[in-house]
Amino acid sequence: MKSLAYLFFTTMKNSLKELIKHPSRLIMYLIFIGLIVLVVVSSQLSDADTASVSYRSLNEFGAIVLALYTAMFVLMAHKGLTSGASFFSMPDVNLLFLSPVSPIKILLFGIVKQMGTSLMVGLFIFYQYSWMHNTYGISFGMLLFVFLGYCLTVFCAQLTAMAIYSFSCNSENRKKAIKGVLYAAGLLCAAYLVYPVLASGSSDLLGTVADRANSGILEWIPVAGWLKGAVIGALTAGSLHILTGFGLTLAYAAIVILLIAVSNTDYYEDVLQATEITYTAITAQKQGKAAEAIPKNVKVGRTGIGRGFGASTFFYKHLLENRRAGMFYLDISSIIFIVANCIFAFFMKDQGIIAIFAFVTYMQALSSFAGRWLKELLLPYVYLTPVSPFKKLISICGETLLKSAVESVVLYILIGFIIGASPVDIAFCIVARVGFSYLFMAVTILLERLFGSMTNRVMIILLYFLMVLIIAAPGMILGGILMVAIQAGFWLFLLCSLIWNLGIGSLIFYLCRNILNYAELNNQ
Amino acid sequence: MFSVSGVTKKYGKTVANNNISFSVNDGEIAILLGPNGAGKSTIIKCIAGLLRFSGEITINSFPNKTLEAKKELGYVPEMPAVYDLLTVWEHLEFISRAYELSGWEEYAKELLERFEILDKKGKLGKELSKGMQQKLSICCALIHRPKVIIFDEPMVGLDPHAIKELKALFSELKQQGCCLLISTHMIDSVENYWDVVHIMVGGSFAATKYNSTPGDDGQTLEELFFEITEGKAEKE
Repeated sequence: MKSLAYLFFTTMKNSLKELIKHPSRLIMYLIFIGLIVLVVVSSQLSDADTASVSYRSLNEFGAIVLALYTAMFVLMAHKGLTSGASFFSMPDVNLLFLSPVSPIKILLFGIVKQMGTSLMVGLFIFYQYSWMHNTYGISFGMLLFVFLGYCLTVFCAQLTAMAIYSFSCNSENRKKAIKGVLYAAGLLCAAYLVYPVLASGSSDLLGTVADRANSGILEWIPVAGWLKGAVIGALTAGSLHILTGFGLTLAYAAIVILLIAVSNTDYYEDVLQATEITYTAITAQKQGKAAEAIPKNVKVGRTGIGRGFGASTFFYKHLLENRRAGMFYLDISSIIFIVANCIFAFFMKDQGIIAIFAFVTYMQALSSFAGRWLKELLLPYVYLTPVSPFKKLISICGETLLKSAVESVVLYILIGFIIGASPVDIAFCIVARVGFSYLFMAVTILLERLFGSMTNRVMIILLYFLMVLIIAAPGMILGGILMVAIQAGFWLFLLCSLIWNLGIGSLIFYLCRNILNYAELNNQ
Repeated sequence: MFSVSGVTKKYGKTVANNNISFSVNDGEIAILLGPNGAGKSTIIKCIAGLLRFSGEITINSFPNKTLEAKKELGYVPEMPAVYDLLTVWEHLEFISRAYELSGWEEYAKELLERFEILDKKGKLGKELSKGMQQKLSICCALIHRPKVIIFDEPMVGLDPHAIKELKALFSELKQQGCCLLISTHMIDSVENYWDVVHIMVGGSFAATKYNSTPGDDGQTLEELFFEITEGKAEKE
């Protein structure tokens, strides 16, 4: 045990030393914390003006919490059917697993480490404080409960994935049985939620589903339901709910740990695959490589690129890769993105198209770090090909723009149906979204140009958002002013943004036209 | 031929290459030999036009960043560079289209056959083993028949047959008048097909040895290498 304690504390000590050695990382953490404080404080300050405002029903909030916890738990636990889960790193596998230390102690060590990771994973909840507070009147103390519930969900989901993998990795029948149970439970829950709407034909779909989501029955869903009960209990001062929810969750975690430890002391093999997958993903991320979600069994289909010559070959190659990676122009991440935005639009339809467009654009900015053109920068061919670097730049960006256009059309037509927006607004939203895609790509290129050697991804993302805000602001401000001044519709704001984004984006593209002359994209 | 003149490459304060100058003529094979971290891959990447540097590098008299130079250059990276979602054959089609080649199919087949991956031509990049990816990477570097070819640790991960073929290919390319630069830290793999060896230590050339040095003192490459690298280590 001494060696494990040594490893644990030395790692912590060295992490702190690294922070002092690399002040940029320290600054990044301070900015990170500063932003949380800013979100919390600004939301609290806005209270003064909104003291008399009535908040939306807490039942809706309960439904959101239940949906979030359930989605996280099911998605993570589901990994137990494929690669399992791991609390360990590759050095743990290569060094610790070979050492003469009891596997049970090593498992406990992994669990302690995982608790820390789960806390870190949940930090994003704090950034959601603003809308939680303004819409549902959630206080900071309540937010801490939501955060705690989320961390425990992630932690228990990891444990469950490990247990499922351990139980089912050598038996297809067991896997099928677990899948069957999961799907059946999912269908039952869905039926329970939707039945009253279908039966009564209620027009208040949201209210009815939210009421059902808060019924006692769904609070018996393991982990997600228990924790949702505890969190809502904390909001409504139901101390019995808090005790029951957290108590059941902790008991569940203890039982699963005990089961893993007692029934399977030789768990090393069970965690190996998950550790390797995580290690590959982390290594790729450290190197700035966005790991691509490639299906396990790719359908090759028709072979040959077939089109393109010189720079345009890259565009057609990307189309071929897209065809193999997913469906049409929309991959899994696009579909998740569209579904998530549609759900948001459904819940926020009272707020109108402006709020929804703002949210969709914010989400779009978050997802713009994907894209095949960024992956192209990681291999040497795009630099070696003897074609004008500007033509290559345009060609490698083509696929992302096309994908964005298809995504925009599908997304906004769906949103249009959900919120009943006018066709003019929807058409302008579609083209404005493509304009933002163009700008986000241009900003990413500019970022690579200026800070290409920076390896700290969190810092890069912060800089990216800062630059996007600064560069996109003039178009939005101008649009806002014109819209108010001449009493025009939202379309004018969108049009101004589009023109500005296309103009400034093109200027950035032109200024960075020689970027593909070098694999080192910045000028350092 | 290509020439490197006064090339210095820095990463922040670290000098990876310090004022390096050398050239390789047509029909010559030059070897870069050195311990890990000597700066071999860095100078290779500078020649390939992937990195910024101070100094001058020309490929067949063209500055190495120009399109004319890129057309003449083949580069085999240290880590195999293949696309997960393209088949083996599509990789070669991709390069041929990007380099605007015509009538490449026969040569592509020849290369794949030579490296025993013709039967894998329908396999996706992600389905290949690391060794097969390396073979494909070599084929991609050669398909446009470059005159200057640089190999960064090309033997790593290859099976004995592929190593034998690659060595034979080095000699053939030399016969055809190509100039080759091969980086390695494995002295055994160099054997006797080289014309000149540059031993790199700490970002600079510590020694240069020609295969037919007049008045050679009979010192083997291995002896020279250890004399330099271990001698440096003792001094430090």
